[in-house]
Amino acid sequence: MLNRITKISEQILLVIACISVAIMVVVISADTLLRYVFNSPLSWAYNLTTYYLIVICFYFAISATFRDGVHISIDLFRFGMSKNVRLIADITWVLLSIIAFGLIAYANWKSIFETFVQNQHYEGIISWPVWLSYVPIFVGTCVLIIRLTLHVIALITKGNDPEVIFDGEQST
Amino acid sequence: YQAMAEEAKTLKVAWLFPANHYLWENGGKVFADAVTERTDGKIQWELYPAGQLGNNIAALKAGLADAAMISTSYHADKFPLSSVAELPGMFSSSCESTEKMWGVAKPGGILDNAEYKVQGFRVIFAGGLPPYNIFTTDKAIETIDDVKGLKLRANGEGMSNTARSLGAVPIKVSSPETYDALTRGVIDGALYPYSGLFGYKLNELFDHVVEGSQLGSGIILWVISDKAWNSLSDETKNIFTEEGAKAQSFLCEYQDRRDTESRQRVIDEGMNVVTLTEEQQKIWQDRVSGVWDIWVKKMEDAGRKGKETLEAYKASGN
Amino acid sequence: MIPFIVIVLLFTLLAFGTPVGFAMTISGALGLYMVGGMTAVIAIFSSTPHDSAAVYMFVVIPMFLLMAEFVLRSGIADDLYTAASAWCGRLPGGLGIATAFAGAAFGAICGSSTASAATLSSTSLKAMIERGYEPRMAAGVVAISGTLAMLIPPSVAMVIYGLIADVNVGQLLIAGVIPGIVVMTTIIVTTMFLAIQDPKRAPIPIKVSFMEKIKLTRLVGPMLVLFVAVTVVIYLGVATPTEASAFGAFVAGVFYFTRKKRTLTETFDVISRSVKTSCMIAVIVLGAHIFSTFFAVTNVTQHVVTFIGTLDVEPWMVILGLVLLYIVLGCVMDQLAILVLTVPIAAPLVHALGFDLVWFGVIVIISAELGMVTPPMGLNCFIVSKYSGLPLREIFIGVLPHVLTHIIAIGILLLFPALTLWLPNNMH
Ligand code: NA
Ligand code: NA
Repeated sequence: MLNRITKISEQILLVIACISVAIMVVVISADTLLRYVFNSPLSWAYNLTTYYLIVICFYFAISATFRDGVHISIDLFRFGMSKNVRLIADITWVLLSIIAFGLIAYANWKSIFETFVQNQHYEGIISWPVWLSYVPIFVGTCVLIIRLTLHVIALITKGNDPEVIFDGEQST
Repeated sequence: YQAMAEEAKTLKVAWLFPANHYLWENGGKVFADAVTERTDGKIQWELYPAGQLGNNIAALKAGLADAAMISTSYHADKFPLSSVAELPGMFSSSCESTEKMWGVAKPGGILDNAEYKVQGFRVIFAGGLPPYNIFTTDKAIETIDDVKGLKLRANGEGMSNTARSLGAVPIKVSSPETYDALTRGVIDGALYPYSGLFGYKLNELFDHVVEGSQLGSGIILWVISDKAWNSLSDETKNIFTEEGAKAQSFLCEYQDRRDTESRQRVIDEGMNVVTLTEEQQKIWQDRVSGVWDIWVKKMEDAGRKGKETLEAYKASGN
Repeated sequence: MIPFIVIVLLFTLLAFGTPVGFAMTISGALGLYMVGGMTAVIAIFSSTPHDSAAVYMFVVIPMFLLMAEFVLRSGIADDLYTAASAWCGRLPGGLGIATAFAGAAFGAICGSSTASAATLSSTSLKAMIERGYEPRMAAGVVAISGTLAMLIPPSVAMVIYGLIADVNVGQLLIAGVIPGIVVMTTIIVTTMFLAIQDPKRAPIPIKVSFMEKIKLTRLVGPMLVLFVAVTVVIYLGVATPTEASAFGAFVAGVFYFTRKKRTLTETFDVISRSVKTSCMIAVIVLGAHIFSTFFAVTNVTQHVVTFIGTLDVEPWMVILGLVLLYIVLGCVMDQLAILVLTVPIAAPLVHALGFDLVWFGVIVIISAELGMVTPPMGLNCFIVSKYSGLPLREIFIGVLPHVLTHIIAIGILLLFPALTLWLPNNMH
């Protein structure tokens, strides 16, 4: 059940990340073109891209990227490990990752809160709220933490996790 | 002797630009060395230049840096009211800008209360950069009407509003890209201090400058974290305060001297300098002061004390 | 002591197979904790994930990757090989030479080595083997030609180096052009030599009429359009690298959508692949930033630089040592991992020694590229093996002559920095 919800959340976030990439292509191209042809660049393109679209593209995809085995790792030394050693190694780093990303999620929650309370804005003709720029980091890492937790539970109870591709090849 | 031994410490300073940058050599370092000397070497400094520690404000909060020389416009989201020091029509020299800023940024000042205390640091001294002039490649600016429609490099909201108030089209271009942007005709000119031209060889491209218009400039602050400050003895705190004041004067006088020399240099190189008549100056002043209202409105709309800050800044240093 | 513990943890985690970005984040966090307690960790974690991602220049990465995906699926690459082989086919090793040309041409519109190796495998490798080429020779030239993509702009590796070493990305991209041509020439010369040495390795195919050649050359059109949209635009300064990359992705997208009817699922698949790879890179860069902050605070970088300074060695010896290190690391590590693990220390060191960081970036990438085709971890060879069904061993043997001449090419670029720096220095 939780597995399903996690998977659905990952897909939704991934779709949003893809949409923001598509928007970037169009907005930046349009911005460049307008600057040349009509001498009037889109003044909001820079802030929209830098503070929102690119952050969404990176952090909304973080869990799906992990699930699909796209985060690169050095698997050379794993070949020499026995199956059990490999399992212990995996459990260790997944647990440590949960702690690290847990701290990132917590710290970014604090950033959201602080920048919201202080009513911080990025400068520009449109007042872009700063807190909104931290939200994708918080949301993305939260889903990743859930994914990692499910992963480590599967590793401990079943010895493997069919939901997550690992030792797989990269998609590039 | 024991008291001395207890207080001996090395403070870490974060700084955005390289260690040989003139603002460090003639400001930050002047202060740091003086403090070391006056405390008989008890206070030592360790510089982390060129943004090694990443975001300076985060480094201060993290305790990874004890002090920093920061540019408030680099953190415009955290220090919106500090941009009061970038407004046009307020000063015509680095020392004037510095003194005005110090009045509002010093501990207990209106900016300190509004923006620096919450971030957990205090200002030791301020440094206003020399004021901007408008430099252009082809077109000489004689009157304010000549500015209309010009594409001017203006980074940050303060500069952009100033350019807009004069009828120009502000375009965001980073310093390293300015040369390119000028040769390609992306921009017709730029807001710059005289002394800022040579770093990117912009003196080669500009043929005209108009001066006498007060177009604002940027600001840097030497700050120390509350934690580091509170760990100092009263005697050392006094030394910091005294040497800070001295370094502040030294830096602004240095900058004004450098700006005058730079001005002479570009004149020698054949730049056409247009000095606004008193009558023209009044017109320009009227125009750019419209930026004040925009600024105040924006601050007030966001629930900040824009009006009060502007009044305090205007009254400061007089 | 603290740096030692942290580095041991990092290498242990890497050996465990922890994703590189995760490993750097975890060990960097431990280091910050030991230096400044939880306050330091939280303060850095509350700003670095945001500040390292919210960079306008970073847009280049998803754009280049998306462009590569679009190009890959639009069939432009197949056309490139057809045209190149029509022109070079009758030379000794002609189809191999065509592969090098197609590799360079594809490299000029695609930013990723593995994508390039995959494309060349599915087009030129098949063609060569059908015409009776010795399989290992054919596979070798395909694997090595794939590496051109990271050198010739657009290049994801160059952008990552630029982001980490804080070097002008536009200049870096342009700096790869001439070294790319040097490497391409090296591949061509090696292939011709192999073909002349034993003509049975590379039979000469049937003649193509001149008119036919002209007709086929038109197929290069889309590639030229993309090349102009990105590289020429950056060189002439018409647009910034960020703008050019978005424009390139846009144009590639136009080719992708107009050449065939596409479904929504297909399109989502294409975009999501580039998004996931971008995310992978962003996490690695995040790890690198956290780790370099830790290195800066503990003065590790400075100590290394001072230490090398006290050694009584010539600066060029240091560079040579670094090149060797990169070649060795390339044997066991992914190119991206090498970049993020070493550049934070190597770049300040090289800069302190008085070398140009743009030039060094090209050297780093070309050296680490070699690792893509050497055992035991040779990603390009893995891909060629997968596509061709040839055993991995065969491919490593087939690429060996190219590895040797590639080292000579690196030597040439080391000796003549002007080859690398002439174009970027004349960008205005
Ligand atoms: Na390329
Ligand atoms: Na290898």
